[in-house]
Amino acid sequence: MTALPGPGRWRLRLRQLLAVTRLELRRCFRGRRLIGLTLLNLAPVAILLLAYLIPEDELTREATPAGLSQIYAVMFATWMLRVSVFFTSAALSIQLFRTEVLEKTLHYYLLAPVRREVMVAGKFLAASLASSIICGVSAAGAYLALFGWLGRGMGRFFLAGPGSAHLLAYLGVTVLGCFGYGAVFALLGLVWRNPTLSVLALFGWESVLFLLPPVLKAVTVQFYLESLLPHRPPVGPLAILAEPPPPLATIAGMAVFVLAVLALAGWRARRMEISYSTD
Amino acid sequence: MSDRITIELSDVSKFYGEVLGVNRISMSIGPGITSLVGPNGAGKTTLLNLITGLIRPTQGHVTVDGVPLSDVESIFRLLGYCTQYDAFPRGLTGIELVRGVLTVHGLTIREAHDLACEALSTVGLLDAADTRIAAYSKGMRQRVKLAQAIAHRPRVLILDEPLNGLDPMARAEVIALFRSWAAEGRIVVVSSHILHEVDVISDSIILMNHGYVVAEGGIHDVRQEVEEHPYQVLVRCDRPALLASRVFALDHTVEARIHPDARGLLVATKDPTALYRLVNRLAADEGLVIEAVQPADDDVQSLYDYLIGDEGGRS
Repeated sequence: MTALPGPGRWRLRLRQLLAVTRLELRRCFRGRRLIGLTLLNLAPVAILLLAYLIPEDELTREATPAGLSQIYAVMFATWMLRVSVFFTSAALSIQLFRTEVLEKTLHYYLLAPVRREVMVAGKFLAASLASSIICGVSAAGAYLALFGWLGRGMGRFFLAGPGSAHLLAYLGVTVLGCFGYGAVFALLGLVWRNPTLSVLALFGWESVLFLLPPVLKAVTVQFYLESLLPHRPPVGPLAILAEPPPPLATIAGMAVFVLAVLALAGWRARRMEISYSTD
Repeated sequence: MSDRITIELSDVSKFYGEVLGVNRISMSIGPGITSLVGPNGAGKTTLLNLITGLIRPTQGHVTVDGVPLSDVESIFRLLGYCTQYDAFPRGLTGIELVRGVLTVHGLTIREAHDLACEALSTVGLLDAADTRIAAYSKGMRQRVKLAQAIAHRPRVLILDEPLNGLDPMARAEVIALFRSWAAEGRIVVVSSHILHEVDVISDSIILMNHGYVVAEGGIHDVRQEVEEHPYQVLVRCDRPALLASRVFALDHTVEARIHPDARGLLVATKDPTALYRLVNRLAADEGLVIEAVQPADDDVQSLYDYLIGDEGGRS
């Protein structure tokens, strides 16, 4: 009946972080929402697989590694990054707090001896990992489905060519995107009672990236993510060009950005009060 | 941390915009069972949420065992809260809920599992531990909430309407649990509208209305402070008519009624001590056979009626 003895403070916090992450991961992979997210993410894979209905020699005749790389870059930038990663992160990260308030279950966390910053970090980690897994499987599936058009040349492209490195790069950008957007959406879910409008506003902002002047491009997530792609997608005649920062600076910058947004979310969570009846 | 744990509220107020939640509450709650009584909207849940840090006071501060609520890593090892919210994370079984919350405390899964089993066993729910909470009856849901609140062996238990939904047998078991926790030196704060049960279990009460504490302390002490209402004393004896004729000679007698079974007299008096003296004298001098002398309004129900009355819309 006394307070439970605990290990060192930081070790304890790490355990708590992992416990929250574990519980939240289960929640992310449960429910009907997952069906919608799976359909959203597997749509490009399904479309690419449909191409296999075309006789094999016709399919492989026109396929070259360079051409397919360009097709994938466009598909990745326009659909996967802008739509799949964005909305998967939004669906999983925004609900971290909002759904729990609506379902009146957040107090189970708030009554535990865990710092709210740790709770925010654990929830964020779970949502970002879940969206990384879902979007990563989609990105890898689409990549393999597309480069399968090379037929026997596929093995050479992966083993002797840049296939594996490019795939890893795309997966890395996917993960980075899930963590970057995940942090933003976790914060939005804490700030707004109805975050839908802010999600749509952010989607609009990220969608007009190509029209933004360089100063404003710097305050989009998409700008940094696209700069890390192995192949830059064509931007069109109206686009305003800007030189992206070097890859290492981009990755470090994204990490700092995520930490800063999470710190803000943690601060917000500390001020949070439970008054379900008014929510 | 001291051996005798206390909850201290110092000039605590909570406003929701311009709406008053609770106003200027200062009190100290010690070990034993303290019941929080008041009508709907009196501020009971607001007070409990303030004590547990789910909401922050607009002014004043709360400490538990000297620890401020801002120190969440310490305070929630001391404190367990069974809320009134009948809500659970989706898809979980009873053991998963209790174990999951314990792992967030920082326990290993094995430690959490053992403590969760212990808590579920305490509330008589171990057999249903692996059943989904969605399939639980109202009483079982209430008990799994209790298990979750006690699983980490807190020294302070805050229970918001813990008897809701329990059948009479389960109520008796749960009340016995409260008593055993209080006997171990824990603080047990119970909010309840079932006044006769509160009366039986409470060491002290806090009566609330409109966000204010109307009265607090031991039931008998509070009753003594309610001077405008005469005491009701039931004297069970063989000759109530004789007693009635004599009690009206006392200055402080307000009313006397012979009990319907003609074996007692219900006396309303502002000086019960004088009445007790008279009864003793009659027994000694005139052979009045006394079966029992008992206060008839020294209970929570009467205090509620006197201090809050119909205004509260008693539940």
